[in-house]
Amino acid sequence: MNMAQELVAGATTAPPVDPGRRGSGRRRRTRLLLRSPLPLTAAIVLVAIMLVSLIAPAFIADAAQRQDLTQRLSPPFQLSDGFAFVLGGDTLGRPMLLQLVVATKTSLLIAALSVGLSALVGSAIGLISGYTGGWVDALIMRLSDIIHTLPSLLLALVILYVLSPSITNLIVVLALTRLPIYMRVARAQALEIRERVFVEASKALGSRPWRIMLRDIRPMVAPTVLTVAMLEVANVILQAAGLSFLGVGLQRPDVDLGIMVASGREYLSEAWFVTFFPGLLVVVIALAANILSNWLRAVDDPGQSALFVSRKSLRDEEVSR
Amino acid sequence: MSPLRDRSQPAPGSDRVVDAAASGTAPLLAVRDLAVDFATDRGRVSAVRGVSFTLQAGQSLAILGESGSGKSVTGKALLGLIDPPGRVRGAIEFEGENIVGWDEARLNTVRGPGVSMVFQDSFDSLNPVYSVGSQVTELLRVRQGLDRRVARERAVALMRQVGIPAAEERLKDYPHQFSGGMRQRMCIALAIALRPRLLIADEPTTALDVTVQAGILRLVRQLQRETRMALIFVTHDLAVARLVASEVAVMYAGRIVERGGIDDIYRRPAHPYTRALLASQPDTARSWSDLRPIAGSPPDKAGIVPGCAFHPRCPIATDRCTTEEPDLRALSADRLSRCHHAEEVLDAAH
Amino acid sequence: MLIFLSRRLVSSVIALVGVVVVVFFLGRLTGSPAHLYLPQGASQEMADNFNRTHGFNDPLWQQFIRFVGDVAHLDFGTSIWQQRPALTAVTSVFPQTLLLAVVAMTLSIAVAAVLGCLAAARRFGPVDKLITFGSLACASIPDFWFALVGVLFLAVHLGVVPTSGQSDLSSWILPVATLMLAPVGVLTQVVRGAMIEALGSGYVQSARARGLAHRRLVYRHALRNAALPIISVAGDRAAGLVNGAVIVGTVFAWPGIGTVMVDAVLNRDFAVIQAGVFVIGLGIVLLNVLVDLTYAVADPRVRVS
Repeated sequence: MNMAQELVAGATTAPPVDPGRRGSGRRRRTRLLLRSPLPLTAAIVLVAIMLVSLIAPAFIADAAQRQDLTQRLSPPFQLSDGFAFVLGGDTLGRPMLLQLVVATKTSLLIAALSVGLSALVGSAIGLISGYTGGWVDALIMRLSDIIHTLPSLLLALVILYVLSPSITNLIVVLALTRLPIYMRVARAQALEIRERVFVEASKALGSRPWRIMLRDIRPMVAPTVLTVAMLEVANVILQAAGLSFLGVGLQRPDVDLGIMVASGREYLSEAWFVTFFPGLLVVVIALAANILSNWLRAVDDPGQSALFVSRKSLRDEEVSR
Repeated sequence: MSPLRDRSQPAPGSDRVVDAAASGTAPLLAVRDLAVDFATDRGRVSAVRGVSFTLQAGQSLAILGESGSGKSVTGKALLGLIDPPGRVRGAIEFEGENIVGWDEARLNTVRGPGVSMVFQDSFDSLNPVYSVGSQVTELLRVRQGLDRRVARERAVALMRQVGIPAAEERLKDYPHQFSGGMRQRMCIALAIALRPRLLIADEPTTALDVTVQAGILRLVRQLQRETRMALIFVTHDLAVARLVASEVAVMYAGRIVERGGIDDIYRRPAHPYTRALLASQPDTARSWSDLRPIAGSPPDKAGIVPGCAFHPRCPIATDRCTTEEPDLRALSADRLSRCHHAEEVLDAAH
Repeated sequence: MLIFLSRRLVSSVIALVGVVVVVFFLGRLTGSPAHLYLPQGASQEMADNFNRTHGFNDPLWQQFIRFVGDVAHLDFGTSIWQQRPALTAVTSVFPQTLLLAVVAMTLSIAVAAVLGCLAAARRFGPVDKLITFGSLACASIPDFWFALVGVLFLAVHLGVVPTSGQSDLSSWILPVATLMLAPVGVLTQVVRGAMIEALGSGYVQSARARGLAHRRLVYRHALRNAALPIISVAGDRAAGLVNGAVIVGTVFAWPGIGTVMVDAVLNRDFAVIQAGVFVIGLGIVLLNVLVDLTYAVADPRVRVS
């Protein structure tokens, strides 16, 4: 589920966003977003899910954990047992709806933290690698190749086995397996920017490498890394769910969407909804995130995506070709 | 009042007049009111706005203009290479048949033996994953039904004709193994393989080193004379155009602004834009003090100014130029200009 | 081409060495390897004993040298669960996984090629939008959930496929479909992008200007060039199939490396885990060499330079 590779390939050639124009770019994006129904829907869905899952658990945490054996595997779409059971009851008679809200919060939190961690660490390493060059660069890139080569789920599975599963370890492992993407993007950009005139000028003025990296190069790399991170949210949510599903991710009594899917496995034939709803929620979140990041790329490069360009229209750049 | 003005025909309208007068035979190519526009985010953008000209068999015409003047789009339109969201209107009559609106299959009967094209970027115009030999023989076998052996011999002959040394050994080489000049020769070989009656060359030397340019230009001129094919040479460089073409049409903002014999125009431009173009080119300016860039920037295709399209950059623009768009009018038997003050410009060149 | 291949070979060897180092440090990450090798709840005395007899108290570099020696002899120790050499436990099921992966990848490329070409040919039209949306959806569906929902509909409700295990052809449907999900999603987008780029390229335009038929432009000129990015991304995705194999092993009890690895984790069979990571790493390194070779054959700019 890694569409970032394409992006990585694109990022090496795409000119970095001019930091001076970022403000107007953001305004332009907002304006375009309001005119494009599909990504707008995706954004609204995503924001709504985030708001509900961040605010609601404060009020429903207890209700979500309350076990009522009379509600065990009770079928969905019946309001007789109260709105909490509108999506049925789970294997221990807890209300599915409230469990879903709490689980979504955990899943989003794990994804956000690990994406943030790997984006930060990965782009820092990539920056240093690209700016320093030489054997340091070669070594770091080989290391990234190795991590990239090993199947991410397997790697996470094995490391979590060794470290024993916990939420912190889960976040760290997820971050670790996704590092190479940011390393490559940041490195490619740093390599390119390093050759630019103003960096040369900065060097000539006697700036130290750290200062150049932090002050001159970082602001130019940041937008690209941000775009990749957006794209990665969907991937990491899927992967975290997979690890929890396999039993090496989050552990009960904590609950995320992957655990919920797994808990319904044994009851698939009697109570399909216990497995179905949490998975569907993962699909909705990941799809919304994917549509948004696909749209973001389309805004910057109109040739890329089909969803958001009308057939009979082109950009001026294409006309002159 | 100059004697020229007395001789000039005040006939308004189309540039056809002169060509029809110049020869009685049916032209190889007759373009009438060609307009090309593209749908964009910001509405329709006109690239070509009513271009008309004719070309006789064996004649050579240079289309001269800055980037964005519509010269390349005109070239592509002649081959039916404008796709949606682009739209072509007007008439392109090749050997008496209007090809505008033809489907691909029918256009393909004209492309190759009728009209053929050499593009600016030779690296981009050759398929990187096939050897040059296989690209030539593919064409000969598919379009002329030659068998493998004959096609191969003919390919070698073509490569010799365009001046590629050791042609036989180079058949199996790939485009990336050729130098820029040799690659452009290869593109020319492909373009003339089906013996076209009209060759369109779209800035074929712009991407090349100056030293290589001359060889390619000499080759194009020589091929044109040997094979008696007509030539349309699209360029932004009048000095280059002079080496291969005898006639020139100067384009600005999607229209022809001046047309005539190339040496004539080179010596005495009749449009302020042509004059500015001449003054901006190092090898045509008479001295350093004459060399000056054209003030202002080329017109935005989306927004067309009222009156003469060139008036915002024109040093001799008057009030009339800002309101009334000039026609392309005949100044003499073989000279057309789209300027209200053409006669003054012509006189000033004396 | 020789320079290209030897450079890639060198980096493959480095990657393999890296995998060996990773496997070694996996066992030492927690400080006490005994806890990894021994069953849970083993006494401290047993652990000390184990560490002493297996030399886990020696300096790290001595352990490493010994470990490399063992790996060179393909000795990863004995599976405490299966009571046979760990490597045999892994290699005996490897062909099963390989077969499944090859079938899934071949089908993925075929499906993605058709869909991607369709989308590129009708760029920005409704078909293109539908295909792009579909491929994004494919990339957004968790494979384990897809597998379970598949079982629910095809096995439980319709009864057309078995719920688990490997039997006749119908038992292959869900595992193959589950493995195809992610690659189809990504590859369709890659094919679409590559075809659009190739069809808009100068060489296709100039071939068109010579009057070559549209089908020839698409299938001979554009597709051959678009194949290059497809090859490299497909190679990249192939490694990811191991992820899918883990899921397929768990959900469908499909015999293969996925099942063995998950069982090893659940039964704390560390020797098998090490052997498994090594074999998979080796497999991926070999696969990359294969992809590089294919790429070199397909691209004359690499082959002849």
